[in-house]
Amino acid sequence: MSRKTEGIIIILVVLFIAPVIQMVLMSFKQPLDLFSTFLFFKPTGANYVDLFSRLNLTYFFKNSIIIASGTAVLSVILGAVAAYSFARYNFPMRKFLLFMVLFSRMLPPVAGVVPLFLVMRRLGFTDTYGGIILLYTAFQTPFVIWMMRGFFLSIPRELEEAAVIDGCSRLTAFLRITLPLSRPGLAATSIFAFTLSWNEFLFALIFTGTNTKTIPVAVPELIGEMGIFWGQICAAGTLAVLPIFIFSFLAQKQLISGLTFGAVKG
Amino acid sequence: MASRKFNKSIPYLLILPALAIIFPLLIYPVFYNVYLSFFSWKVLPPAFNFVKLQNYFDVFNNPVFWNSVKITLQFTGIVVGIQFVLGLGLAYLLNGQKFAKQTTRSIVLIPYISAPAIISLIWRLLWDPDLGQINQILRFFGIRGPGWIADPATSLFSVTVTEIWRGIPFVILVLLAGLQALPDEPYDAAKVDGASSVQIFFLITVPLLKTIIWIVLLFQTIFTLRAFDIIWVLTGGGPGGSTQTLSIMIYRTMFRFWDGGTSSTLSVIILILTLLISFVFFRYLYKEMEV
Amino acid sequence: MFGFSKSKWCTKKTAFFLTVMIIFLVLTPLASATKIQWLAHPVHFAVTGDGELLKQFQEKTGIEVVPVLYGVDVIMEKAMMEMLSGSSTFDVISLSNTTWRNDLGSDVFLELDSRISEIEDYDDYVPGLIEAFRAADGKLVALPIRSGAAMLHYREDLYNEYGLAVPVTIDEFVSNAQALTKDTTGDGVVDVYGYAFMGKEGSQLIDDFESWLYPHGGAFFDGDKVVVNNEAGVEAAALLTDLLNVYKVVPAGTLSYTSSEVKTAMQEGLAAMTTLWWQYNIDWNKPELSKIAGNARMAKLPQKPDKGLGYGHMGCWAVFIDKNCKEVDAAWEFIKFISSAEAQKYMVARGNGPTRLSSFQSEEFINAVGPEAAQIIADVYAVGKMPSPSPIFPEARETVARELHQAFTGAKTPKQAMDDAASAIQKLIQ
Repeated sequence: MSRKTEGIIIILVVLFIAPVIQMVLMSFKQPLDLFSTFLFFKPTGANYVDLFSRLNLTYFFKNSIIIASGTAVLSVILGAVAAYSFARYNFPMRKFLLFMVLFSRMLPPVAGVVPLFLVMRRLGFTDTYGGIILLYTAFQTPFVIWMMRGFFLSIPRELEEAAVIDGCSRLTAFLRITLPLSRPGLAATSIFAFTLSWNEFLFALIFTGTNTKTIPVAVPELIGEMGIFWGQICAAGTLAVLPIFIFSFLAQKQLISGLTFGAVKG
Repeated sequence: MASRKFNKSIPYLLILPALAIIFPLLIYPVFYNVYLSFFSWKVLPPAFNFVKLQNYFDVFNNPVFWNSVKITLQFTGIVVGIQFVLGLGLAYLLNGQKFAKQTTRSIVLIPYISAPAIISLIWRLLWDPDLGQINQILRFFGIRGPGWIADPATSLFSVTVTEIWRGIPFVILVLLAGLQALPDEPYDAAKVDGASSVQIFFLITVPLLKTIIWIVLLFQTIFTLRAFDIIWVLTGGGPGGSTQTLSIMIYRTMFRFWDGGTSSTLSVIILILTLLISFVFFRYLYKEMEV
Repeated sequence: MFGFSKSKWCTKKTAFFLTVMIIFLVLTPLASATKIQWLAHPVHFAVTGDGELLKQFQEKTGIEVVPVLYGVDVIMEKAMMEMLSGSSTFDVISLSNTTWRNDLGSDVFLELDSRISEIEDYDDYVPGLIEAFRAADGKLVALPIRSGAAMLHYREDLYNEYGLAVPVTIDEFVSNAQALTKDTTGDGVVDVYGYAFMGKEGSQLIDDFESWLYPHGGAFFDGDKVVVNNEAGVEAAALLTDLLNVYKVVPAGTLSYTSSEVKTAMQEGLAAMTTLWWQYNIDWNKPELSKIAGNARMAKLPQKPDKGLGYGHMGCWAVFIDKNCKEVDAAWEFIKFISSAEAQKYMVARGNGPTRLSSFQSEEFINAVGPEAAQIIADVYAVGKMPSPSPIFPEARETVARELHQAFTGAKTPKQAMDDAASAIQKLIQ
C-alpha cells in the first residue's frame, strides 16, 4: 500500500471520529468557549474537577465496571459452553432451540421493561449486582452463542478426537485444545458483551438504584432542568470511553483473528 | 446404562445454564406483551379491560402507525445498506494497511463504544443549523445549510447519518476479520490469469465472504429495527413525526401516554416484523452453514 | 435450690435489665437517625446548598434525608415503576405539575389536609401554586418547593440600539422581533433572530405555548370541557406558526430546540428574546457564563388587550409523600421544612424559584434579579395560575405538542391542528 493511501486512511479515520474529538475538546473548554471556537481556546480542567465533586463519578465507575465485567465473564462462559453443545452435538430440537436463541433478541427492549421489573422486584433482585448481571447476561449470551458456535465449527473435530484417543476425557480435550484455539473468539465476544453492558441505559435506569447506579444512568443528571452542563457531560463522556478503548486496544490482535475464525467458516 | 444416559443428556446439560437464563428473562416478556395486547391497559390510573382485537384494529387504523412502519423500514434499509457498502470498502482499505494497524482499528471502534446518550448530544449540536459545525463548514464554502434535524424534509437524513456512523464499526470489524481469513490461492491464481482488481474484488472476494456478509446484515438489521437512543435525543420523533420510528412510537405510547395496551400491541407487531425479516435471512443462512 | 435469695437476685437482675432496656428503647429513636429517601432532581439538591440545608434539618430533627437523584425525563418513569410495583422505596417524591396527574390522589399519596393546621403561615404559600396540587378527590397531596414563571427576556443593548420599547401588546412584540432579526455580518445570512422558543416535539413546547395561550385569554380546560381549540387557542397556535414560517423571526433550528438550546441561543447572542423562566436571567448576566452579561432584562409577557390573563407558563415542583412509606411522620416533617418560608429564602439565594410569597420580599431575591425585575416577578406570581389539574394533563400536553407540529410543518392549519388536538383529548377523557 502506497504512502499516499496510508495518508488518506489516516485522514479518513480522523474525520471519522471528529464528533468524539469535539467531545474531548469541549470537556476542556470554559463555558464561553463552548460554542464559539473549535480548536483555539484556553483549556481548563475545571469541568473534570466539578464532575467528580458534583457527580460522585468514581462510585458509578465502580458499579459500571463490576456489572460490565460480571456480565462479560458470565455470558461468555455460559455462551461458550452452550455454543460447544450446539456445534458438536446433534440432538433433537437443536435447530429449533438455536433459532429461539436468536428470536429472544427480537423484542424491542422497551417492551420488556415492565414485565421484567415486576418480576425482579418481587424476587428482590432489583438494585443488586447479581440481579442486573443476570439480566444483562440474558441479553448478551445469544450473541455469544452464535459467534462461538461458528468458532467451534471451524476447529476440526479431529483434533479433539485425537486427544480423546490419547486418553483425555472430552472435558480435558475441550479445555486443553478447543478453548485455547478459540481464545480470540472469547476475547472478541467478551469485548462486545462488555461494551454493550457498559453503555446500556434503559434497563440500567429502571433496575438499578442507589446501590448499583451505573454511568449511563448518572449522565442525565448533568442535563440540568435549565440547560445542559456541556463541559461536565463531555468530560463524563471522555472518561467513559477510556476503559473500553484501552481494553479493546490491548485486545486488538485477539479481536481480529478472533472474528475471523468464527464468522467466515460459518 | 447410567453412563449412556448421562452421555445422551450431556448436550442438554451444556446448554441448560445459558438457556435457563435467556429463555425466562427474554421470552417471558414476549408472552406478557402478547397477552397484554388483547387488553386495554391504562397504566395510570390503572384500568384493565379485555378488548380482544380492538387494540390491533385501532393501531391498524391509525395513519401515524403506518407512517411509522414506513419510516422504520426506510430507515433500517438505508442504514444497514450503507453500513454494509461503506463498511466493506473501509474494511478493504484497512485490510491493506501496513503500519499502525492496532491503533487504527481501535480508533475505528470509538463511535461504537462511546456512550450513546452523550455522543447523541454532540451530534445534536453538530446538526444545529445555526450553531452547529456542519452548517458552519458549509457556510465557509458559501452554502446555506438546511435545517437538518429541525426540518422535516431533512430530519430523517440526519438521524440516518448519525445512526450509520454509530453502528458501522461493528460492520467494519466483522468484515475486516473475514477479509483477513481469506485464503491466498484464489488470488494467486487470479493474478496469474491477469484479472483486474475490480474483477478480483467482485468475483473472488465477495463470494468468499458471503456467509459473513449474511451474518453481519442479519444482526445489524435486527438491531437497527429497534434503534432508539440516537433518534430520541436528536429529534424525539419529530419534527411533525417525520422521524418517528416504531421504537419511538412504542416508548412514547408507554412512557408519555401511559397506554400499556397499545404499546404492547406495537411491540408484538414489531416483533412479528423482525421475525419475518430475519426468517428470510435465517433460511438462507442455514443452507450455507454446515449442519 | 431456687430459694428466696436467688429469686431476689434474679429479680434485681431482671429489674436492672428491664430498666436498661427501657432507657435504651426510649433514647434510641432520639439517638439513631431516621432515614427517609427523597426522589429528586439534581437541581433540587443543588439549591439546598448541595445538601447543606438537609444537614441543618438533620441537626434539628435527627432525620436524615437521603436524596436519590434522577434527570427530569426519567424521574417520572422511576416513580411510576415504583408505584406500579406497589413498593415504597421512596418516602418523598418530587414531581412537577406537568407530570403529576390529579387522579393520583390520596389513594397513592398521603393526604395533607388533616395536617395542614400545623403550618401557621399557610397563607404565605403562593395560592396559584399550592392549590394546583389538590387532587381530584379534593385532598391536598403535596407541598410546592420550586417554581418557575415565564417572563419576557430581552436584550437591553439591542433594544437601545434599535430604539425599541418594551412591548406591552402581542403586536408590539411581533414588530420588535422583526426589527431585531438581522443579518449583522452582511454575508446575506441572518445571524440574529428576534425570538427563540422551545420547538422540539414534546412537553416543553407546551411551556412556551402556554406563555402565549394565557396572554390571549385561552385555556386547556374549562371545567370538564376541552377548550384548547377556542378562538384564543387557535390564535396562540397561529402566532407560533407565523413566527416560524411567516415572520421568520426564530432560529432555523427551532423545531429541535429544548430549553437548553433556547438558553444557549440567548446567551450566544443568536436570539434577542425568549419566554423562559425568570431564573434564566441570573445566569445570563454572569460574565463567566454568558456572552450577553449585563444586558439581559425581563418584562411582563406581552398580552392581548382586554383578553390577556396577565401571566404565561408557570411551572412548579412539589414534594409528595408515598402513602405506604415507612417513615410517614418523618417525611411530613421534611416536606414542611423544605417548603417553609425559611428554607425557601435559603434556596432562592441559590437560584431556586420560591413558592412562598414572603420569599419575593427577601434581600436575596431582590439582589439576584434587581429591584425592578423583583417587583415584576412578584406581580406575576400574585395573579399567576397553573392549569387546572386533570388526570390526563400530561397526555393532553403531548397531544397538543404533536398537533402543533403538524401546524408548524404545514401539514395542517393551526385551526385544524387545534381541533384535532381537542377531539383527541376529548377521547382520552373517556
